[in-house]
Amino acid sequence: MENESIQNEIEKTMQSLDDMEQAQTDDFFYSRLEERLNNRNQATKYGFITELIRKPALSFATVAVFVLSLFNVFTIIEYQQQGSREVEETREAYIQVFAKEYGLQIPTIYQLNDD
Amino acid sequence: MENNREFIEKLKEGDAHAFKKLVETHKDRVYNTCLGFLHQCEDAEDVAQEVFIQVYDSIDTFRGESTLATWIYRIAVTKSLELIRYRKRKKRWSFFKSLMYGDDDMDELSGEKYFQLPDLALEEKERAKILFEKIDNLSENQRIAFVLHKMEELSYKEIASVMETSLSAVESLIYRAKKNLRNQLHNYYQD
Repeated sequence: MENESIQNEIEKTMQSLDDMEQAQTDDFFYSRLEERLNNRNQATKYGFITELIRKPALSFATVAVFVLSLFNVFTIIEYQQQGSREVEETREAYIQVFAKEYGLQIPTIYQLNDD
Repeated sequence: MENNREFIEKLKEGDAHAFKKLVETHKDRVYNTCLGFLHQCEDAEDVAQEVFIQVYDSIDTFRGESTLATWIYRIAVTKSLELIRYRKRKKRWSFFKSLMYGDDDMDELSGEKYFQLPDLALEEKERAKILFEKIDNLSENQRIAFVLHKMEELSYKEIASVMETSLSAVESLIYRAKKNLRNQLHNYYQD
């Protein structure tokens, strides 16, 4: 395309919006806006509960998080208790060994009879 | 009416009649501004409604340092750009998904934009469509200044007020926008 022709096209394109009239909304714009505001206010009024009912995926996710949290708490408690049990058992074992080393065990009736 | 203190006070008090009057006064210019950025009627209407919802929510923060119209234009520009950024993120994510999963969702985003340009002859519509595509390639500030100037016919002073910048900055932005557009169009028509 010749340079003059290109420049001509450019100018025409740059001016293409000049004749465009301002776009207009229709007569129901305000009605739709009002409805949107009312719906939004309703949703805010009942808050999170309404959102849970309206959005099943959100409900499922909330329940899943709750269940996983419970599971984690249960695991932590169980782990701590198991730890305590192991410590207690180890402590008991050490006491037994110590007592045996120094003859501090209380003899049973069978040991007394053996003697 | 606009900057009448009494009218603004009524808006702040939540007067429904005052709010309706505000919407009726500004809805077309807000819609037209959004259309200038978004090029799609549905999106422009959606964003225009969000603009008025924000006006409704934050009218208490309006201090009267600018006119109501300027303040509303500012919200319209911000909301329009937010949607554009959201579309770009969605497009990037769709592209990523298509690479990973061979997803076909890219089609709805990679296809031609739906331009709606009433009141123009066919040839002018085609030219306007090309111009809008090139406007989309401008930097954000150049795009804002150019759209407000071309679509809303705002003066440089009004644009400076909306963009919260100086008059000379606006002059520079529009000059550079026009220059960039001409360069893009030159490359387009040369090919």
